[in-house]
Amino acid sequence: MLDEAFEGVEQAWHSVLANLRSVTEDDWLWVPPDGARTIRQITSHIGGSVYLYYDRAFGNRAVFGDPISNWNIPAGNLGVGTLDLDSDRRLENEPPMADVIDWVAERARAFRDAVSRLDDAALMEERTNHHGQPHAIRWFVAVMIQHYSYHAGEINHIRALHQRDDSG
Amino acid sequence: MSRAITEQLLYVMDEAFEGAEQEHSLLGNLRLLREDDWDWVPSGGARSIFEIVRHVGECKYVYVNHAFGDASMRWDRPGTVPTVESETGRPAVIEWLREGQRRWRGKIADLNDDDQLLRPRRANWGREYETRWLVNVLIQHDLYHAGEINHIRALRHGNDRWAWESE
Repeated sequence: MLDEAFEGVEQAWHSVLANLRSVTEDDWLWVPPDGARTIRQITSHIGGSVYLYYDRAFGNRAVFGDPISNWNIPAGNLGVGTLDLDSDRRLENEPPMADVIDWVAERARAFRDAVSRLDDAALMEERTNHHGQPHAIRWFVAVMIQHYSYHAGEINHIRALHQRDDSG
Repeated sequence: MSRAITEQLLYVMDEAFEGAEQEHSLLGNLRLLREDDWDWVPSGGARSIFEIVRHVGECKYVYVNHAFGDASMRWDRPGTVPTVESETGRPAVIEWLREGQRRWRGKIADLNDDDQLLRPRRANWGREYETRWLVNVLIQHDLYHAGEINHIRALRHGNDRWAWESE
């Protein structure tokens, strides 16, 4: 399900990567009338979130700190931080769209690979999320599945408004 | 016989449709709507929130009818697909949506073995897919369109920023 929601292996319509494929450089930083968020922001938010969830469910909570001490951690080798990418402004050292998508895909792959190493019993083991609340690991997985599909829908809607082909 | 995988799927399905603590669920996003958001269409757009909800709901009825029923519901045969109109009223539309979910979820909950998830069943375009594929499509469908609904609502309400930016 993670694979379908992020990559769309057998069913691409609603996946993150399939919806990003039809996004152009012009769409990437466009803000709709009365809107605030760009597709770059939403895409980066997906990457930052899956990085955070990996850190909480499978890591040692050191990447963001415990409690969280820094939201603006380096986004791979992009030369910018996760919070920079999550902003609505064009960055001075704005990374190329393709590189941001590659970084998000890399973070999604790390999370997916960690899930694939679990057995069924491990899905029910508890971890503490970034709000300090305990949840079974399956909760972290379910949230990421939801997160991917939900934001893929938002990405599609912004793209459709900009490309004027809002047909669903 | 085991139903462990089926139970996990039902868990994700429930979270996607109405997860009480989840901001991404379909019903969770519908709860944030005002009456006049329902038929509003943003600049450059073509679909209203009502039209998206109708699409999501009709798919539930049609998917269950083709995968587990007599495949009689078809969009090219007027009157065969249970539907709603924008004048139907929001509470009745939500109940219609819930009924579609109950039918679909009920069929999956009735599967007595995880092996049943691998059994091919019909999609409404005639091809057969593993049952788990169909389940996954409708989970993604709820969430994807919940995201679209949220974006339309946020444009309408003028609060499209991340929640943490407004705190």
